[in-house]
Amino acid sequence: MKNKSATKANIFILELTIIILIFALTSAISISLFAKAHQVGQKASETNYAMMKIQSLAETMKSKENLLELKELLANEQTTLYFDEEWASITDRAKASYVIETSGSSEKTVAGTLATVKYLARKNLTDSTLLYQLQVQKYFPQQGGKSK
Amino acid sequence: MSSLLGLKKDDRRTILAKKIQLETNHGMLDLLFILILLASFAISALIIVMIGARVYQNVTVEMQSNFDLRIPLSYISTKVKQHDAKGAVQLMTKEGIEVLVLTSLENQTSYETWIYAYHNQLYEVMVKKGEQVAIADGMAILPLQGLDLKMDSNKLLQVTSYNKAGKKLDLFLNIRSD
Repeated sequence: MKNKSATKANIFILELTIIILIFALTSAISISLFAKAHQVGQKASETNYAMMKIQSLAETMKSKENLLELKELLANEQTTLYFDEEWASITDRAKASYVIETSGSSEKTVAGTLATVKYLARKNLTDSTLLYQLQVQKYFPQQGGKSK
Repeated sequence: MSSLLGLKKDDRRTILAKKIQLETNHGMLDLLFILILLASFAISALIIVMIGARVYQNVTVEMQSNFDLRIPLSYISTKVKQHDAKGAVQLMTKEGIEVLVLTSLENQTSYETWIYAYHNQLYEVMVKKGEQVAIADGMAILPLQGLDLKMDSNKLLQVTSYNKAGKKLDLFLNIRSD
């Protein structure tokens, strides 16, 4: 009789232990999913900001009437703009949480010049994760065209 | 039990009492172990639910913040691009509020679309050009904490939106037709 009740208790504890193990396993999976959800949310927010910043830069570039106004942008191999974690523009490279790299080129045609500027938003200089990229082109007719 | 037969009656009683005491203690330990196990299970479940709730709350807050900042800018951007004609995009002050005035021509009649921030909402109203309408007569479109409109050198429109958390987002729009 005593042995029977001891066996019953052991089975109950074993059952409970198995349940806790299953629970531990599912909670580990849940926590990793929560972390992933947080990361996805964060990335969506970052992409949003990067998209808006790049759109503003592209619209500013498009507003230039004269090729000379883009001279600096087109002459440099690559220009980097630095932003803090709130996406406010800063000059300190070390404090930058996000960066936007701009690179420009110009192509002379018979009727004018085609300016191309590429914008790349990254998390920071060390992280190569690309948040958003956009290539903008503007044609400047009768400006700096190549002679026939 | 047979080993106890050789002992005196009192000794037998003492040994039996000790045995019963030991078994009772063992039962108590089992119960305590099960209770601790159940308590740890309940606490862990609670922690997991709390982490999940926190993550969901963060994601929702982030989404709402993005919505508050981005949607008004996207709406204004679409409207400006839709009305982008020579002299059709202007900034005016009406009743002390900065208003984006977009002019369009429909059936030989000029209409003005006014877009502005009023009472923490983005308002819009469409009127025949020259007609006087009160700012409060507009239609609320979106919730908004703040909106700044600036025209830079008459070609670049700067729109800034603010959300409840005090965050702001700028958007520059090139007025192509001017």
